[in-house]
Amino acid sequence: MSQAANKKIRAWLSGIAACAVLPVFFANPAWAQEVQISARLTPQQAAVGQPLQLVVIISGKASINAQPQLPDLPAFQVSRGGRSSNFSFVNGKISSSLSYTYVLVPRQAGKFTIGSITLEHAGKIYSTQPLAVSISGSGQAAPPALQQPAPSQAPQSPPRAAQTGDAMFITTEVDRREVYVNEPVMLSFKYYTRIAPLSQPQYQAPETSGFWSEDLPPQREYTSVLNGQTYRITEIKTALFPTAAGTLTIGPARLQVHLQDFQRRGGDPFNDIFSRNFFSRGRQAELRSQPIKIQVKSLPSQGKPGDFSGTVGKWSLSAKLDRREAKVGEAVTLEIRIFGEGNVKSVGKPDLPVLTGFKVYETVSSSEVQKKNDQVRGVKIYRTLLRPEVTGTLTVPPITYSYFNPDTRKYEKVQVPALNLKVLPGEIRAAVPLDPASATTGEGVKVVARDIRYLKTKLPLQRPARPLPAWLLISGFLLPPLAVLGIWGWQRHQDRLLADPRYARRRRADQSAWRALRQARRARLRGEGKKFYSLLAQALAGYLADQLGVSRSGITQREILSRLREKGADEGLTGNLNALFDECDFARFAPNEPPGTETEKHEQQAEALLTQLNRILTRRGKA
Amino acid sequence: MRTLLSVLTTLCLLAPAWAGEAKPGAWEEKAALARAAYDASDYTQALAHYEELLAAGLTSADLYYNLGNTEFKNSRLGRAIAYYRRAAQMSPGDEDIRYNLNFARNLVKRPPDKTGALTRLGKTGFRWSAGQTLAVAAWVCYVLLAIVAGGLILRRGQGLLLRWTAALIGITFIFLATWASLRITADRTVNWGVIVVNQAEARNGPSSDFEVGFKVPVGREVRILGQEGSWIAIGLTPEGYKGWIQDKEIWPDGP
Repeated sequence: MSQAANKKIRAWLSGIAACAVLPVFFANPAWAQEVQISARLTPQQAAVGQPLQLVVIISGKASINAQPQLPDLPAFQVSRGGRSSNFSFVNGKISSSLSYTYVLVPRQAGKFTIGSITLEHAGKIYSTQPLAVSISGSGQAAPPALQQPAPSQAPQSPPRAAQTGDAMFITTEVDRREVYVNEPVMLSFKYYTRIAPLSQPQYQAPETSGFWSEDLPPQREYTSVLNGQTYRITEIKTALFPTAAGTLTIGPARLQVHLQDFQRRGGDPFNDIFSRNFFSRGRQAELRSQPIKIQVKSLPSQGKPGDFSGTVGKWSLSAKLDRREAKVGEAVTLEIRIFGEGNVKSVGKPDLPVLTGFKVYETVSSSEVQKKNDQVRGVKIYRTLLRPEVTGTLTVPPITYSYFNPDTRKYEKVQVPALNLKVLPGEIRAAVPLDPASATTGEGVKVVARDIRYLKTKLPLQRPARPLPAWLLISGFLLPPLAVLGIWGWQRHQDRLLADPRYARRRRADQSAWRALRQARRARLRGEGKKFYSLLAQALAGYLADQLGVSRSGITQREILSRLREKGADEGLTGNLNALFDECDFARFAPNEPPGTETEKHEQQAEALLTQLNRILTRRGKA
Repeated sequence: MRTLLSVLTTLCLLAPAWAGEAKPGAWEEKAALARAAYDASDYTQALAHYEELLAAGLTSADLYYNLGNTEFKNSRLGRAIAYYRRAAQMSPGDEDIRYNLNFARNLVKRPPDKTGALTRLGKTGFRWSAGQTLAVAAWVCYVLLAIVAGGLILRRGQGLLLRWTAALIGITFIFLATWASLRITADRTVNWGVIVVNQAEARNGPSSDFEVGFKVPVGREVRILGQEGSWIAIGLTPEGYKGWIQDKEIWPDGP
């Protein structure tokens, strides 16, 4: 496009603006409402070479895609800054707001008027009010917008100023450099500028590995005077929560800016604006801030509560059931809200107490983060579904929650009191179906509420028995085998009696001898002396015959005595026996009854002899 | 010999009730009060009455069961399970005790039991009867065996039926005596307990200086592996964890 053509168009446009559009603009407020254009110049007073910012704001109820057109400004060097847009959707209609920023560098002193800035939209032309500006002289002709500051000229230069000079720099700052794990660090990034870049700067957030980062919108924009210069400052704040102890580094923030190289181009600024397609010949610059080291301390182990789950900040606790009364089997929600300051998303689940009588289902959590006054606050909500299983008043025991308060440097505990739920019986189906038809449908038992079984009603109210005495126990175990042994022995004895006649005679010898002795005593008591001695002799002789295994009749007294001696009987015994036998024979065969004085003595002698003989013969027999 | 000894000692404990009763009337009153309090949902009061009965020495499976019910309703799951376990040990065949014990157990979160069906069946079978009952059964078999042996002697070893009966009773006796002694020995060796506080902190050694290794929920049944002063070593079977907890945090089995 040639310069002549451009001038023609400009003339044409300004002609329309002057003759046609303005009356329409003022006469028809409806149009004014549809698209509005305004311009603002800051500051309104400046020195030669000091850049001014011109912001043109276009707003309207439609999507506007046109560019504003600046009037001829020979007293300024004009460069185009950024364009920012904001769309909102209200009541089903789009409203948009566009702002274009221009940097005007005065070339000469004096009072100037910036004429109407115009906009063409939908066949209509809109324009702004003219703006007045006064420039004080300094004799400096068209200084460059970017100048490397001399150190002496910027003694109060902010720390970590980036390298594009004092016209544009960035800083990153933190509110503290030593924190506990999960205690927030406030990182603020500031972008200072006195000039407008060609396009929207590209912000690259610092590297924050090891931190949980939470942006704190909105992005703030304000102007501030620094070293006598007015800066436009854009501030972005971020809360950083360190996740582990140690030394963590916040990397440098970066900002890519696209600046016009005024020195090289110069020329007519309008030319530049109209031929913005060729603007790519500007200069790229990257602003960097310094990295920051943060010392992260681990939480103290002293006094760490058992239920501590790593939550740091200042927290409160509330809990509620979504109803006070429920039927058995109905779902009830236990909602535990942990709210306060800190990293909401890292708030751990509270330990649920044991919920007796409830069936406990899974817990779901949600969180709401509020960022207000540069603080991360919010609430973490844990919802647990419970299903009462028994009737009565069920209790959710007190719930506690522990967290670490970095301000007091102590673990703190919050608690909510116990919650009660009245549980009513569920709908109980009749055990016996009222409708006979339903009895045949085969519908089984419907469980309404499960509970433990009832108490045992007949308690055995007795002390457990005392231990059995030891003798009873021992006899309980010894008697049965003893009985078995007894049976065995008795049977063996019976068998021998049958099989061995001599054994049987010897076993019976004692018995029959004593039987005879008893008969003899009866005879003595009756006064029958002869019979007495006869029975006495019979008892002794019979016993000896049985024991020695000989015939009662076919053995002589002498033979008996010799056999006894063989068996080991001493002379005393045999002599006594012999004497008694003689006495018996004498009394038996005497013509008169024997005198009763001797009988008792002889009986005793016989008994003693029998005992002695028994001892000798049975011992010998066994041996 | 040890088998015989344990069976003997169990029989000692088995003696029928010739123990003198001091105040049965007062005990009946306590039991009635406890039941009334339980019915009125005043579990603290009910518990106090039942505990008095227990302190008076009225140990029984039914009393332990009622104590378990009361503690359960009192929201103390660990103690409830501990009482139910004692009741089940004394009376393994009681359906109510088994039901309530399982009911309480189901409220405790624990990993699924990986033991095989056969092992589980074996364990259940082993616990099917109390050691005392088994000991009595073994003794009855012993006496029967003696009677049959006597009969066999009298019949001079004749009679096929009698011989088979003797063999059968003999085998039964050996089986029952072994089972009884194993059961009684198992009961006497207290190697299980129930956690009675929520999230008991199991440390890596028998002192609070050691770090907490894991936390055990209330009502969890754990194996007792040893003791050092007031610290008890516990083992969690399916997980394979081992740690030390304070003795007040666990109720071991046994009266």
